[in-house]
Amino acid sequence: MNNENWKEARKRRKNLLIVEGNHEKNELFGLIFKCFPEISIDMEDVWIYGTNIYMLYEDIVKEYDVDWDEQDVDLPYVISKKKNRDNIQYKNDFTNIILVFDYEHHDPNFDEDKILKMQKYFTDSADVGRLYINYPMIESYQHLEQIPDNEYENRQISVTLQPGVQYKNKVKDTVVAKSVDLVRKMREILTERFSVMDDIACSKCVDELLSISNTNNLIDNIESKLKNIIEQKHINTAKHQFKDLISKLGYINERHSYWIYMREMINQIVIHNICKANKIQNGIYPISSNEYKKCFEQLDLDKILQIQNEASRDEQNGYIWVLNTCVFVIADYNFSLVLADK
Amino acid sequence: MLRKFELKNYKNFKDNIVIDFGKVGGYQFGTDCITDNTISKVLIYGRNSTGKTNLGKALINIGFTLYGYKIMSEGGIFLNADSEEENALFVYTFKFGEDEVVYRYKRISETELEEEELSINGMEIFSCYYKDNFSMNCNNVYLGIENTTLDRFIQTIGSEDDNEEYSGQQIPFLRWIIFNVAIKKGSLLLKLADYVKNMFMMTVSGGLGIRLRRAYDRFFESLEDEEELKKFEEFLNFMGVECELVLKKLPDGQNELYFKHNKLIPFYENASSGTVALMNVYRRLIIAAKNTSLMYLDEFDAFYHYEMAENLVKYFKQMLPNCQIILTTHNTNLMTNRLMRPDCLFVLSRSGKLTALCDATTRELREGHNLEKMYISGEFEAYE
Repeated sequence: MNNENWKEARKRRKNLLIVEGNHEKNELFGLIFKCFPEISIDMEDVWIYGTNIYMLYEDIVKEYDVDWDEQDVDLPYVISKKKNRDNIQYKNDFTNIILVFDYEHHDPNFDEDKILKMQKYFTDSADVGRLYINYPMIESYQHLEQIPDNEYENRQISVTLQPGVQYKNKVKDTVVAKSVDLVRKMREILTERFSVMDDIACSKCVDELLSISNTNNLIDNIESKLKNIIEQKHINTAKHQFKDLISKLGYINERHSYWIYMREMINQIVIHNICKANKIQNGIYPISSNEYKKCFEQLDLDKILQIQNEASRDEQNGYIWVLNTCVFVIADYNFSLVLADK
Repeated sequence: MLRKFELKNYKNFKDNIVIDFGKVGGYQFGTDCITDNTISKVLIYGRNSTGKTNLGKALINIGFTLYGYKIMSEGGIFLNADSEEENALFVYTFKFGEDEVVYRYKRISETELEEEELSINGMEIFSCYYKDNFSMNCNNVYLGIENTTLDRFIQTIGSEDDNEEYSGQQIPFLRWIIFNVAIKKGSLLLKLADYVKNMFMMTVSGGLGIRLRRAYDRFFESLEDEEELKKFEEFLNFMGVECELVLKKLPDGQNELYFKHNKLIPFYENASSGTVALMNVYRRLIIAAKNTSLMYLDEFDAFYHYEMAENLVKYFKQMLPNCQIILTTHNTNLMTNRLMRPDCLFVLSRSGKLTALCDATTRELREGHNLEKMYISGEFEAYE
């Protein structure tokens, strides 16, 4: 510990993403960072730490004692100490610390006080870290039936809807889920169907295919991107299959790349969730577009958590408002990113 | 006020560097850093040898041009050592009320001028070209001068100045006008001349080492007024130097300042480095600063406890609201929205670019952000 070589420059600008370790979160944030290059987070600089919010809570208590919330908590330190004592890291080297957890009302460790204490403390991603809780879980960002979706205002789920896989099934066919899934699907086809083994080349190819933004010579264009990694005998099948995939979502007819299309979709998700959060907090759903920013700044995630706690307490009749706050990462970073494409 | 300063090819600044005091961000806090919609309190950070001192020297170069002050020249190299260009460019944009005055000149060296140009509200008032064949354009009507008067200036071309302080150098036309033409009271030229006269720079090395007794006599004399002494004592106490002061007149008529204890302790010989540095600022402010227009304090808090540095910034903001104050420092504790704001905090990069924190990241900086932590963790790394 602390045996640093003085000739080695301190590596700064790192990013820490503390999530529950599930693949989808990686996918969502990978997509967000890809669609919003302004945030300038390279996935390679993202350090993902999978844990559950209550385990993290206990780790913090272990290091700082129960009055941790009156101290300056260094999450990279807490985590790196536990993970790898030889490579201790400090928050001073991290420009972003983002904590994303599911509400997990049904978790045996669920504790209203602990989760509220966390929500109250972790409020700044550029400093100690910012906690985003998703209700009921991360997949709620996919829970729009269409865009815009006026029904989102009243969307709730019963506390009896568990385990999580039930909720996942509920949202897996939405337009958002299908759109987000395109990246995974393409990778799957390349690796499983056409036996592309080189992981980096595969990512690069998917990236290029998704960057296509017009229909001119689409087939040839696709072929040129595939020819280096797929065997010649499969090219013909492959190019048509990818053409179908790319055309299906329709973005290409609008002369957009997938990334631009997803950026707009994510922005819509952010706006829907700002309105929804305002509904939970203040009882008002519709907001005029020039009020988005002001409204967003007045959101109080502690209060929303408390309201959710109240609403879900009854084990039979309780309910949870569907709300995704982790997409607020974008609005927190710079609100103009959300409005820019309007 | 000075709205903008541009510099090129001077010392380490090979490319254009700009301080834009007019680029005010839309922050609702820290309004005491802004005066008349112009940035008036600035903190500059930067790694060692990025040119923080050079930038200050460049900024006050106009004082030399207009008044011929001996500048703090260490005989260093004037032009950028990697550049092909043969002159350094200085452009000062002032705003007085609604009027904009731009004074622009090129220097070949510390003393030699190549070109000079003044424009007011976009209209050229005069331009002079000194190198090789002298030529000039002049709006006589605006300046209210006759051709015969102008001839007197032209006669100075090539001849040397009488004053040995700046012998061998050509008198800039603007300086010549200020000293030789009856300028109407309240005119823009006079405002410009006044502003420049009241600019100054202090470096920490200037106050280091030998303490020149003579320099303090005048200050001690001003403390003969009991109220002034009280004010100075209060100032020190507010800054965190707890002390009581006594001033005594010695038989030779000189004043001696003491710390009051059971035995009196002479201030001058015994004050700590921090206290002396603090006194130097205060003395400068008291003697010269009633109407100081701009001051550039290099490494202003090199000897200060963090709280003293903070207090001094607060003092400047409160006591000198109209003065444009540029402080360079390495003290990241001051990089906070409690005291400053993101459009008034600048980073000078290794490549000689000056960037306000709010322009050094795509992140929207808010009042609650911990700017110091962000700086240290590399948020603004691309501009360092």
